[in-house]
Amino acid sequence: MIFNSVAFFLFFIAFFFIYWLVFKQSVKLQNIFLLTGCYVFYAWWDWRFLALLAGSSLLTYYLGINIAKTQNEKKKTWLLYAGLLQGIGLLVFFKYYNFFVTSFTEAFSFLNIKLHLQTLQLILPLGISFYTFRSISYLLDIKNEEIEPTTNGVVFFSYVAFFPSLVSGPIDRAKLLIPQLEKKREFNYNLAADGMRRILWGMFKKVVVADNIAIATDQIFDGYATMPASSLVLGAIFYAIQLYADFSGYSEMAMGFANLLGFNITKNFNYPFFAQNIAQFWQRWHISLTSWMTEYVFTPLSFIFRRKGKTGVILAIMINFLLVGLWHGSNWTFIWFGFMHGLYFIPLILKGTINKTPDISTIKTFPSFTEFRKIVGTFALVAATIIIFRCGSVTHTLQYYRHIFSASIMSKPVFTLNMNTIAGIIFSVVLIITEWLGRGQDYAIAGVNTRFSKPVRWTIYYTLALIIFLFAGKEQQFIYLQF
Amino acid sequence: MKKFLLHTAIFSAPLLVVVFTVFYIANGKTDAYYLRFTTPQQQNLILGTSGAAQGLQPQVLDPIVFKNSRQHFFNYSFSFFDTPFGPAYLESIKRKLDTATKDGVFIIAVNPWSIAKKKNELDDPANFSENKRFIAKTKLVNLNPNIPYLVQSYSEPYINIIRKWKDSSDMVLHKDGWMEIDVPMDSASVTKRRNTKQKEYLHDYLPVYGFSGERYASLRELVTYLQSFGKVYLVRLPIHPVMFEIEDRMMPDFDEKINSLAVALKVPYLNFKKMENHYQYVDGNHLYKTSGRQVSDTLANWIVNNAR
Repeated sequence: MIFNSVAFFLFFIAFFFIYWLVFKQSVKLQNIFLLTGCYVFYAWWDWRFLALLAGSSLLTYYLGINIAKTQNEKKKTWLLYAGLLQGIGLLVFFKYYNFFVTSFTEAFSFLNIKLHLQTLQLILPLGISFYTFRSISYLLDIKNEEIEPTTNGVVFFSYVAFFPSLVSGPIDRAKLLIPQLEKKREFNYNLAADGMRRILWGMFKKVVVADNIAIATDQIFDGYATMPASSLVLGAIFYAIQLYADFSGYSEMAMGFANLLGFNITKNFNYPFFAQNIAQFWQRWHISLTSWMTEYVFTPLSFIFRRKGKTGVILAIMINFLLVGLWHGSNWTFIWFGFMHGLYFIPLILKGTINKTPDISTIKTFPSFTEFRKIVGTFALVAATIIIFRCGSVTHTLQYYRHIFSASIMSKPVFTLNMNTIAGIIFSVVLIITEWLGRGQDYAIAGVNTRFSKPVRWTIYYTLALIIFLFAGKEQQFIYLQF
Repeated sequence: MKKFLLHTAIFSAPLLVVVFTVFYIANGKTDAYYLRFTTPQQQNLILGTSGAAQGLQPQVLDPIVFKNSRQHFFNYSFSFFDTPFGPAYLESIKRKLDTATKDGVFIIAVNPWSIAKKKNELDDPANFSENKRFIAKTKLVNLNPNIPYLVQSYSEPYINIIRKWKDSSDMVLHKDGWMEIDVPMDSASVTKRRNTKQKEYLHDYLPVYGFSGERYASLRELVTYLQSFGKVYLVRLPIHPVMFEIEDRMMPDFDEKINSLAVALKVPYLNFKKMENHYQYVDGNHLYKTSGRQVSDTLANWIVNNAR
């Protein structure tokens, strides 16, 4: 039941009406119904893992209460470790077990030692990376006395399984979502209208831009061996746009659906393609993961390595980004992707300019030449590593790079142009221009509501809705569902 | 809340009108399959893959087979990817068939690809690739306009429905299910298309496809099922000799298999092999419409003779 499917559309309409019309009287009823909806939504994907989600939530819930209750610091720590072990253990088992077994076996066979470790036929439970990170941050925040644990089981279970952001994030923090769950939601017209606009914009990004440009991307990445280098460069650019449109489109829709239910959730993207260096890029891309990793990995590591000066910061960054890479999946390509992004930070750390580049003024219509150069440079760095992200294996990636560095880089790019690819390219340009013009807003078309008169506003909404209907590409899964 | 619902309804109403209008104008140019799911249940069916979809023309068969009666054939053939014999196609046929039929005529076009599977895949109907395609997903096959099909299975942007609506197209699906292809038939174009097709089959399909016992069993089940509603005829349509050669390499005993099935189930079998040089092909695998007319005519007369 993905957001852009008919099944979800019907599910949400039914849920929305019952939620606001039947259960509006009490927060308790609202939450019970919300939790039921969350579990129905999850079971629709694969009911077999519902017990895992519920079991993991139950354990975290009790550990949270006990961590807060106990005065014994040692016991607190042990309870926290139990929670971490449960969360990370599940992730390692379902997501990384086979990867580690295969990697160990290969590494030892390189030394002529034969290991007979069995791989398992495992299905990755949907959204496990997202809900596990929510649970872990909840326990860490309690241990660090940043939040009080909730004693309301329904609230906590709803926090972990909150369906708009359950399967692909954002990774909402407890301090943001739990207080909202504890309060009765009153219908708010402006919030709901904002939600509708976000859904419209998210849908445009996903079904018009990402799903159409995906046709060209697939064509290039699958047939790279017979294509000129110029096509492969285009393939990298297209995939960068596809990944952004797909994931930010999903996040935008998630925020929109949450708004319709009376919630505000974490903003996950802030115009990352207008970043002027890689640090700015990560402050704007998958913000909920970056801030999670910064708080729970980078900051503690920086503290541990604080005596090593810039070397310590580099070490912390490298470990942080290796983990960011690994979070995405059990493949050496993701680790390589993380490693490259860690490397990109080194010049900024050495020059001491990590947080020193100011954002481009939102009043300016055009960037200065220096700003433009930096934006293009940062995009090029990202697009170069997006190849690693897209290719399924290290060998595939190396071959792709090898084909790029060939004489055919100067030749005319070749790929099949059809209605999908043409629409994908044209609407990618529309997306980038709209995002540039709307970059001062929370999301690109947020300003439409205040800047234009009602007829103009509605014309814009109708145009968008018609484009979505008429140009929607073939329904494709959200890329981040696999993580 | 009331204001929000009112605004949403006002906003949605014109959009819904546009959506339904676009779905309503979908026709035989929309895609290669849509129209077949928009007609009522049928009594006489032509079944098989794309060779039958393009090659067998109901308007040629009808006057010969059904003479002056009001009966007519409906071509419910699709493609070798979508409708090889298997449970998905059988279920779809069951939905399309008017089960009140007593003396129906059913033409089943067979070829080695229609009873083949990828060698590296299990010969298990539960894992057949078409289970995830439109033939399995389209549960309502007699609906006009067929919105579930357009929503679930139409793979192009909907703007193409408008674009193709009045456009001249090289592909038109007729209301009787026959797919008319109109492409340049000069020898250079034909050779080019045939070479491409030959290469595709030699490199992409021949090494990876092999006989499927389950699909063969499913063909048997289909014949048996249809026999309770009328008479079944098996036919192997002509294709270019180079394509026959590939089929022979893939499944050398194909004719023996079909012959034995035909004998066992007492079904007439017409094999156009050895007659392939009499016809013109669009790409080696599909009859050009003029040749399709000839083949349909031959087939119709053969059916009439067999029925006597």
